Amino acid sequence: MTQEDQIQNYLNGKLSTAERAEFERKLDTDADFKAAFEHHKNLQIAFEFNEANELKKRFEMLEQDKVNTFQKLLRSRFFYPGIAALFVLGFFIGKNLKNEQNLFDDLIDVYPNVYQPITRGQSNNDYSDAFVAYENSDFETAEKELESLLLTTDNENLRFYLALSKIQNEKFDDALSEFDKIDLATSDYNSEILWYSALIYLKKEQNQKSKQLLQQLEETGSAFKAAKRKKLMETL
Amino acid sequence: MTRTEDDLNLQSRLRADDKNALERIYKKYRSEFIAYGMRYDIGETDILDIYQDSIISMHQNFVKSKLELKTASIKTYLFGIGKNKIFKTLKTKQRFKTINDEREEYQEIDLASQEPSPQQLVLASRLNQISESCRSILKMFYYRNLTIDEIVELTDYKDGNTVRSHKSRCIKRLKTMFETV
Repeated sequence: MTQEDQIQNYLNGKLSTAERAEFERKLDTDADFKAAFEHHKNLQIAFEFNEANELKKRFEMLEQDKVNTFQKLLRSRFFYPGIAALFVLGFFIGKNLKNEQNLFDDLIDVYPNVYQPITRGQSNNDYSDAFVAYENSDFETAEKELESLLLTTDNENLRFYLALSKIQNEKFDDALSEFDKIDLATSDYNSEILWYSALIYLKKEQNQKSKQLLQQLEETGSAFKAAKRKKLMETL
Repeated sequence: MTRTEDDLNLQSRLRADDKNALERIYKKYRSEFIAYGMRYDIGETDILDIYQDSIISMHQNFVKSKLELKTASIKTYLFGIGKNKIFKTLKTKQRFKTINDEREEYQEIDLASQEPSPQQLVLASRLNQISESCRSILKMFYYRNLTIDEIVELTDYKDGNTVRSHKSRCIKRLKTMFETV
């Protein structure tokens, strides 16, 4: 067993009583051994301190979310300026702006219209205009059409495509708001929503948030964009 | 999945330093812990603070010591840590409150944590400045106490020697940062 193994086992509580006693005796008598132990311990405590701070911040954010439930937030007139302010702040803080933008551009794509496929000779229905526009990459029209449809019908699938259109129109915050209105537990597109939300946060340089969503997606066991996810996760 | 399996599953995710699992636990027991803490006449803000510190202590113990709870569940372990912290808080405020409650089911668990020394605080801030790859490997070795073999398994490093040499380069870099201060 190397010296480092011994130290790790001691800190892990894996040593027997006799081994522990021997370890502690060595600490008292062998100065080099003691220095190696102190070195390990110092690093451990320093990491512990940083990790605890990170977690504390994370919990405080959770608490804030709780206070301002998302619905309330959306109605608030401070929401959009707030997001804009975060965006600007992120801009100044982020050092890897270029990398993140490139990554986003590499990974973003146009999700196919699988909800209302347009086939030749098909009679028009209420949704046709929106999805024809979507398929023709006319996302401005798609967005307008979907928005007007959603005024009278609360259809989560339409909302999903509205958010996708908004992404293509580079209205990222609006897209996130739309995704947030969709219940992940019941949506047919939950993997897609997590993936595209993660990309938006990447674009916004909120890498931690992006990573969090990717992990959430990982937990669903979905195979959606598995290769790209892996690539992004590694970069983050 | 039964409750126990879910608990065991969460425990193994905590050992792997999975923050999402921790967040799940945080949300799961938050209200119950606050209600529990209220019995000791502590304000909600303080209780929430104690709850967060308890969750963090618990998590770090899972991560650092690869803790496996033999009989207790995450909840009883967490509440045991919390109870200990509640009593410590009461003590600092010079208030003692005895609760005679037959429902009392939590044994105090004391996870004494060491306050970092000034030198360790400087080290902590240096660790935030080194490269992500260094931070990550050092964190695995020194904080999570993973062996070189375990690190090879979890990462893309070719073999143990590559891990060792990268680790020692990172330590050198850290030392240089100290020298240039």
